[in-house]
Amino acid sequence: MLDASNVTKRFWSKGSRKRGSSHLALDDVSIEVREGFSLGIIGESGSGKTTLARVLLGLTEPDDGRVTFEGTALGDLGPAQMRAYRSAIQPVFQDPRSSINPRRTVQDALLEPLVHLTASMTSQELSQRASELCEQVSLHSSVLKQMPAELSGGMLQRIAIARALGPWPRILICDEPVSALDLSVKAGILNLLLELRAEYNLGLLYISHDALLVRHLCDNVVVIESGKITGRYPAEQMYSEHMAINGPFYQNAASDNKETRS
Amino acid sequence: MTTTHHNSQDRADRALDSAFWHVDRLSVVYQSEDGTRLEAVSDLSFELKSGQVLAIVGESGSGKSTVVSAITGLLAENGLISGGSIVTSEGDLATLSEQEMCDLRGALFGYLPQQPMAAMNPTMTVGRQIAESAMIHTGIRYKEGRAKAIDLMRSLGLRDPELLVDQFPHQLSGGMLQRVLLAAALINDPDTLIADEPTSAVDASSKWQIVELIGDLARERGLSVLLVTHDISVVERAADEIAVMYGGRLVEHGPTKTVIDSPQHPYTSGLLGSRVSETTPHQSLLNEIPGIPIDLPTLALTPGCPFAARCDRAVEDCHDVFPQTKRSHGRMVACHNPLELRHA
Amino acid sequence: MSATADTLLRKLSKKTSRSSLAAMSVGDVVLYVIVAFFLMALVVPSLFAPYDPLELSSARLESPNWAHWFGTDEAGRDVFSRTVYALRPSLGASLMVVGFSAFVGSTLGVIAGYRGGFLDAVLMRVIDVFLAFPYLILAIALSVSLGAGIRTSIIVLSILWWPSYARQFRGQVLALKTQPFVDSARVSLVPTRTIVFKHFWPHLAPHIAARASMAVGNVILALAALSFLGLGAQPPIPELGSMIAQGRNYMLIAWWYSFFPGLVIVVIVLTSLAVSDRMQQSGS
Repeated sequence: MLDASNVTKRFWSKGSRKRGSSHLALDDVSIEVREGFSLGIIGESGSGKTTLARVLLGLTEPDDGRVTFEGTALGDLGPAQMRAYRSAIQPVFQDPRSSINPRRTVQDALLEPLVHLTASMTSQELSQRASELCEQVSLHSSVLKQMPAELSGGMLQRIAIARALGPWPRILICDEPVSALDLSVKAGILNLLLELRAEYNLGLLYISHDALLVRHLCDNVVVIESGKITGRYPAEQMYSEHMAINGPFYQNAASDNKETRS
Repeated sequence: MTTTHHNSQDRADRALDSAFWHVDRLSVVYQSEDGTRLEAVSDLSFELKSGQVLAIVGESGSGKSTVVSAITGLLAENGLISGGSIVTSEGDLATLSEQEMCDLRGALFGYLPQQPMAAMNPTMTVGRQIAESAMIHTGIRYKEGRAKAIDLMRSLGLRDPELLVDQFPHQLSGGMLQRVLLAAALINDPDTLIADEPTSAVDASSKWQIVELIGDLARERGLSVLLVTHDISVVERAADEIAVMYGGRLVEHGPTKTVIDSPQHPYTSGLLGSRVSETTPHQSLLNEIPGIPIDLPTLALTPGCPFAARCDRAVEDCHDVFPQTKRSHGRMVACHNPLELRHA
Repeated sequence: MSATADTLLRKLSKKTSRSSLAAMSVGDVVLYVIVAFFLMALVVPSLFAPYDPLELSSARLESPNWAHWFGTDEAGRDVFSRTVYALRPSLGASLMVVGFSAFVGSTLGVIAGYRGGFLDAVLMRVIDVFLAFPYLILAIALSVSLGAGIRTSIIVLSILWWPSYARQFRGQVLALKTQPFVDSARVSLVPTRTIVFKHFWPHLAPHIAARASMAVGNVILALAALSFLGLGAQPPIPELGSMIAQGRNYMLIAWWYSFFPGLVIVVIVLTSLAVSDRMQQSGS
């Protein structure tokens, strides 16, 4: 119910559009994200994957093509529809230490989307929701009174996920959610995403450079390179076709074709 | 300023198990203003051998970065080596002064730092920065240094090094910069290379190339490599031996393949088990290690094994006293209740 | 990672020093006492000054003694009392200037930084003009056209001081703007107003406080300079700068006349630097 259709996005460097050189971050990209399904986007840094996330979240406007939510283009959403869109589509960013304001309490950060996207809730209701959310991500509610610096990376990312769950979303857009975390903590977050997806029938857009992770987590996978989509596969098929032929690491296949930049 | 020059051929000809470096019971503490001491590394022992890559694997708080800082003499001001020794052909590094360490850095060993972009001076050309080490240690002029740099860059797989050598760091990609830094580390033909998380700041396509390159360098030049990383797939690809650190201690050490096939320490087993591999069933729940990696302040208050609180095999002794090391079949593990060895 | 160990160590030592009084050094205590003294003297000078600052007497140009701690001036007025009363036009005016410029400057800077675009460009050019101009000349010109006096000095210095705040805070906001937590807030439809006050403020406040406290010292010097040139407080109102100017004429026979007001300025400037330093530390 969230679609990107023929989205193209250019970034201009150094000021003037006429003089500066441009970089095509996204070139005619179209994808569909549906509730209850998880779509993986595999791409390296510079492939345009983060730009795609930003466009879907309405943080950046495409130069060409459009993003539609339940059939309506983002630019055409009325105020009530806008709130519905924002509540339904929530982000989980890569580094919780910068996606959660380090100078505010955990509780303030956690409740922010809820407070601004839903009709007024009493402080009692909010407080209760905060505890509920902590429970959903297996954290003790004592973390609410703490500051982000006092929590470990893994716990903080759980807070970020809980924050996204606040306004009862239908789709989570996750941009490299475990890349900044320690090895032993990654598994916990991935499991959490799998469980939440099952329990709430959430749609998931999982963006990462780690092909193994993406194909494990998602139903379908899209490969993006230099702003273009170069492959779409059901996850399991991707593994057996792509990986078995090219060796255990997808990246190897990609790199054999690339030359080091000169 | 004299440094011992080992011919790479000599090194490669030497018996494979001649150890270059002996790190013996190394301990490092950090001291705060009010006097509290936190031990970040405890009683660490390992050897670096010619032509072999030893990977030290650990997460944040494991102490692996502190080990690198201690060895290279780049510990923060409030850090100091509180025990043990780092014995090399030039003596015990732990006892050397800053000046003596300066003479050795880049000559006795090369250091490959974590973040290529941050490690380079943006206002100097790449060639100058590579040649700098040679110019300082052997007294040659830039002209000669630049020529050496070009040769080295070519042998490390950089195309058109004559052009690259006069470019600035920001003009090169992360992967290329990492090779440049490798050139800077190796230009004086050291015996040993210390690579600190060389792949974490580099993107996927370059990652494996760097890793393979390091492995090749070890074999062809008889270099001994200490590779510090948190990425086990890198270890699998390039390392001959793996040493696992947790809470400042070495908990397991052995040949890469056997440790990964049959880990003895519950932490190692947990780490390996929590990865997504090609055989993990699609969308199945992964095996988590409960809890979070231990941090320094908590570590200071933990008398026994630092992993005990998260371990599903913990017995009573685990909480009281750190286990003795058990050695067998060329492997080492520090555990009161290790896993059984799986025999092929 | 040793940076992480360092932060952990710092946190650990903070947690163990429970009593905040014990954590304060002697220097901190002295600083607070001095600041308290100045503020009180500013508000209730009569509490500290033994004489009426305007009271003439026949005890002219007396050197410091028990009756007159700082000696007397050529009109027999007690220099100590005049110094205390001079805090109002000097320190008081300085606080007003700093308050105004910090408020206006940071507000404009933050808005320009966040909004960007045309507004930002215009503001930056205006700031460039102000910062390029030698301030003393502008101050003199404005003072002359508006008429000399404390009020003019305050206006003049306020106009000259806000641009540097604006530039600093614009820069900080530009850096903060790209942080993911701002993206997160925008996605949740947090209004700009709230982003600035709830998200940015805790990052900016320590820097504003540090800069403002340092400015107090600088503004006092500027005010004293204006008074010294005869453009600030007019006689017989005592002001530190004008007292120094007057004392110049008697330098050889009555050193205390210029010395003590000058000493007070030095103490105020050093105090403001020390306070600023403390504020800076609490921010990092």
